[in-house]
Amino acid sequence: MLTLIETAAPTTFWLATGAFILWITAGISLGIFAALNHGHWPDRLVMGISLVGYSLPSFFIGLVLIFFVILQFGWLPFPSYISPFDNPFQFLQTMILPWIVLAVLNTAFYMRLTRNQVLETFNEDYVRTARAKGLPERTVVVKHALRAGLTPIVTAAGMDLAYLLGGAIITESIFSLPGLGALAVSSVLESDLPLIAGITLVTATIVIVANLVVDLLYAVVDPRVRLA
Amino acid sequence: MTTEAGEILRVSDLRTYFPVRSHGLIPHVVGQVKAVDGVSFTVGSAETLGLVGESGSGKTTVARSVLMLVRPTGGEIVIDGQEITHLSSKALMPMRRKAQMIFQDPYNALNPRHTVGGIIGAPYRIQGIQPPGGVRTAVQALMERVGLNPEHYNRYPNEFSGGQRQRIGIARAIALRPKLIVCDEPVSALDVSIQAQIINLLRDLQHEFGLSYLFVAHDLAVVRQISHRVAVMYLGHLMEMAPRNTIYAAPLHPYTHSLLSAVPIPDPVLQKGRSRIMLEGDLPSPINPPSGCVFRTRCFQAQERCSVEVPPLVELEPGHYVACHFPVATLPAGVGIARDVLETEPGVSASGLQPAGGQVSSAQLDSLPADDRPDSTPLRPQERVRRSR
Amino acid sequence: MTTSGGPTENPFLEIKDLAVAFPTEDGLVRAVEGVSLSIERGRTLAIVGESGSGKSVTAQAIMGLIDRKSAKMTGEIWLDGQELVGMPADELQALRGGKVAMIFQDPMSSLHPFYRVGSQITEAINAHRKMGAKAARAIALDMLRRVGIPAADRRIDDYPHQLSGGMRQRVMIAMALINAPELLIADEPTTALDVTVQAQILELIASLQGEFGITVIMITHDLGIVADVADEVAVMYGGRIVEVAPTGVLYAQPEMPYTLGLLSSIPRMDRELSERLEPIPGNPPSPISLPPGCVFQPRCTYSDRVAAGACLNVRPELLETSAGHLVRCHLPAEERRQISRDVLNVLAGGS
Repeated sequence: MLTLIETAAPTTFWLATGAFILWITAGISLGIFAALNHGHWPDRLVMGISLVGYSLPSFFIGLVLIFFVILQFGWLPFPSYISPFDNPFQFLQTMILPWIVLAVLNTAFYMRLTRNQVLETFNEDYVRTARAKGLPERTVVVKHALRAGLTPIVTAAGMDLAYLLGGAIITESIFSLPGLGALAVSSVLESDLPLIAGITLVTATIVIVANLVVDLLYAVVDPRVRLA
Repeated sequence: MTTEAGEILRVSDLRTYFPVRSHGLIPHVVGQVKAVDGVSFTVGSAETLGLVGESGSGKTTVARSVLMLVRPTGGEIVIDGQEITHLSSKALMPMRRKAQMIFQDPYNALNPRHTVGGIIGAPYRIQGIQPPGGVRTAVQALMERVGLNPEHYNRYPNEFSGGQRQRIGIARAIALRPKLIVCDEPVSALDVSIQAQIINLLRDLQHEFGLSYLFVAHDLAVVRQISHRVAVMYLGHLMEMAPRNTIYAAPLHPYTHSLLSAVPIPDPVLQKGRSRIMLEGDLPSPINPPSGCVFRTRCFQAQERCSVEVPPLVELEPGHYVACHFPVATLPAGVGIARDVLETEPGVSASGLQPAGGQVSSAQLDSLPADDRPDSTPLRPQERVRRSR
Repeated sequence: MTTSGGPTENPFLEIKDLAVAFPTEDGLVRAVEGVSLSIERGRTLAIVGESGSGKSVTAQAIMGLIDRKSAKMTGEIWLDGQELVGMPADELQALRGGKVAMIFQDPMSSLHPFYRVGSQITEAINAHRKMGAKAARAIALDMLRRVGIPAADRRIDDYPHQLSGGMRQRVMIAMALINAPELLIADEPTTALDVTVQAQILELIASLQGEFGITVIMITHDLGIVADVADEVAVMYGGRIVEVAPTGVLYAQPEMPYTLGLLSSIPRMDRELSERLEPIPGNPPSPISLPPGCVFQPRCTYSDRVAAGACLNVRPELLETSAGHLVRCHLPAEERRQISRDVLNVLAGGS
C-alpha cells in the first residue's frame, strides 16, 4: 500500500505545484492589472475572462484541450507520465495541459480575489497616509496597498495547494496521470479499504501541515498576529 | 435580593472578567481582563444615571452585563426586584420586557434585511405579545411617537439617515414599555445638530413613560444634559458618583477634576483662559492594573498610601460617593469648569498652555498663584515617570 | 502665534472658488462648491461642519489628495505663490509631506499595520531628501521625542498596534512634522481619542505650532475645540462656506442661522442647564440633490422673513458684513444681528 502511495505521490506533487505556480502568477497579476484599471475596459475584460473560467467545468476544458491540441492538431503527444529527472522535455510535454486545466478555475478565482482585495486596500486610511507623505505612486501601490492587500491571499493559496496535493481526481483521470487522485478512484472502485484509508490519511496530514505552514507564514507577513 | 421602593436597578459588586488566551500552538488562558471590578450603583424609577468614562473604563461592559448580554463573573444585578445573574437565557426572557437597550451605532445595530416595521415589531413577536389593535397599529403609533413617518413602515434601514435610524432603535426599545433602558453611547455617532434631537426625544419619553435610563457615554456635556446622577468610571472601578450638579460643580475625585478640565468649552474667551489638568501617560493595562488605587499612576494627588490601599467608595456627603484617599474639594480658579470659573475674570488666573517642547507634564498647578491654592487639600504635583504598560 | 501682524499682500494660503464633484452611479456628488478662503502665515484656521459638509474634501483638495481621474476639481488654491489645482502631479507629490503635511482622524487605521513606526517615519524623510538610514533614523527618533513619546528609542521599533491611541496620533504628528512643513492640516485629529488624550494632543499641536511657526488648518465638528485652538473659523454646510469670522466674533456675534443653530443645539457645561436643547430641525441635504436656493433653507426657521422666496430660489453669496466677517445669507444684516442677539441672550440663561 505504501509503495503505491509512494509512486503516486510525486506525480500529484508535480501536477499541483506546476498548476499552483501557473494560477498564482496569472491570477494575481491579472487581478492587480484589473484593480489598477478599476472601472475601465481592462478591468471589465479581466472580470469577463474570470467569469468564463469560473463557469467552465475542468473535465470539459480537459476534453476540449485533448481533442484539439492532441488529437486534432497533434501539437503535443498523448500524455504519458515520466519523472522530470528522467526526461524533462517529455515531462513538460505531458504536464502542460493538465497544469492549464487544473489552473483555470483557480486563476479565475484568484483574479477576482486579488482584484477585490487590492481595491479594498486602496480605500484604506494608511494608503492615503502614504500619499500624504509624498511617496511616489508606485511605492504607494506596491509597498503600501499591495503588501497589505495580498496578505490574505497567502492563506487561501496555501490551503488550495494543500487540497490539490491530496490528488486532483478529475484532471488525473482525464490525462491518465498515475497520481493520488487516480489511485484514490481505483482504490474506491476496487473497494481496497486499506488503500482508501492510507490515501485519506496522507491527504489529511498534508492539509493539517499546510494549515500550520500558512498560519506561520501569515505571522511573518502580518506583525499583528505574531505571538506576544 | 430586594430592591427598595422606587428602585428599578440595583447593581452590587459587579465583576465581569474576560479571559486572555494565548494564541500559540496550544491555546491557554494566560490572564484576565478585569473589565469591571466591583461596581455598585442603583437607578431609581424615572431616573437617569449617567455612566461616564474613557475607553477601557469598563462602562460599556457594565451596560452589557446589566442586561446579561455578557455574563458577569460575580456580583448581583437586581432589576425591578428580581435578581437575574443566576437566570438561564430562557428565564431571562420575561426580564427583557422590563429592560431594553439602545445601541451606539445606528448603522450596524439594525438588520439591513428587515423592514422598519419588522424591526420595531420584533419585541412583540419574540415575547408573544399581541398589542391591542395589532402589531402594525402599535408599531405605527410608536413610529409616530419617536418622530418617524408611519407610512415608512415597509422601508429598509438603509433608506434612513443616522438620526432616523437611532429613532428606529428607540422605538424598538420602548415597544414593550420597559421600565429600564440601557443607552450605550446613543448619540456619539450622530452629528451635533441631530444629537440634540435625540437627547430631547429621550427626555420626553422619560417623562411620558416614567422610564429609567442607564446612560453610558463619554461626552460629559451630553451626560450633564440628560442625567440626574452621574457615575465616573476608570479602569473597571467607580471613582465617583453624585447628583448631577454636584459632580459638575463640586467634584471631589482627582480623576473627575481631570476629565472636566479636559473638555474644551465652546466659548473662546473662557476656553483660552482655562488651563487643564494634564493626565500623564496612558491608561494602564487592565490585565495587570496598578496596585491600590487604579488611578494612582496618573494622579496628581497620589501618595504612598494610594499604592498600598484600595480606596473604597464612601459617601462623603449625602448622595456623593468618592473612591479616593485624598479627595480634592476645590481646584485653583481657572482650572476645571467648576461654576466659579464663570465668576472669575477670564484670563486672570490662566496659567496658559503647556510650555513648548512636547513633554506633556502632570498638572501645571505649580505655576498658579499661591493664593489660588486651597488650604485644606494641598495639591502637590509630583514628578512621576511611572507608566504601566 | 508667531505672526499676528496686519494683512500682507498675499495670504499664505488662498483658495478661490474651489469646487470638487465626484461622479457616482446615483448622480454627481457636489462635495464642495464655491469655497473661498485665506489664511495668514502662522495662524490657525478651523473649518467646522458636520458630516457631509465638505470640510474633509476641502482639506484633501489642499493636500492634493483628490484623485484627479475620478473627480472634477475647479477653482484655484494658492499656497505661498504656487497654484495647486493645475499643478503637475510630480510637483504636487513633492509638496505633499514636504511643505504641506496632514494628520487624520483615526491614527490606528492611518498607520500601516505591517511596518514599524520608525520605518514609516524614515520613509517620509526619504521621500523628500536622500540620506543614509542611520541619519534618517536619528532624525525620526529626535522627532518622536519631541512629540512626547516616552522611551522613544524603544518605541521606534514598535508596530502601530503595540501603541495606545494617543501614542499613535503622536507618531502621526511626528511623521507629519518630519520634513518641517509650513502648513499642517489636521482632519479631526482627536475625534477617535479620549477627552484627556485629546487635551494632550491639542496642547502638543499648539506647542509645536509655536515652536515651528506652522500654519494650521484644524478640521473639526467640535465647537469646543474650535474655541480652544482657532484664530479664525470657517463654518461649512452643504459643501459651502456659510460663515467666516475671527473666532471671538463667531461665538459672540454669529450671523448665519446655521451657526446660531449649531451653537444652540450643543449641550454645554459652562451654562445653566436648560430643560431642553434647541436642535436644528430636519436633516442635512444630500450632496446629490442640493436645494436650488440657500442650501440651509429647508432647515432654516428664518427664511420666511426674506421677501419673494429668495431663499428658495437664489443661491446667496458669501458677503462681508464687517471686517473679516463673511456671511452667506439672504437676511438683511441688521435683522441677522437682531436674531443673533436674541438667540444668544436666551442661550446665556435669559430664558
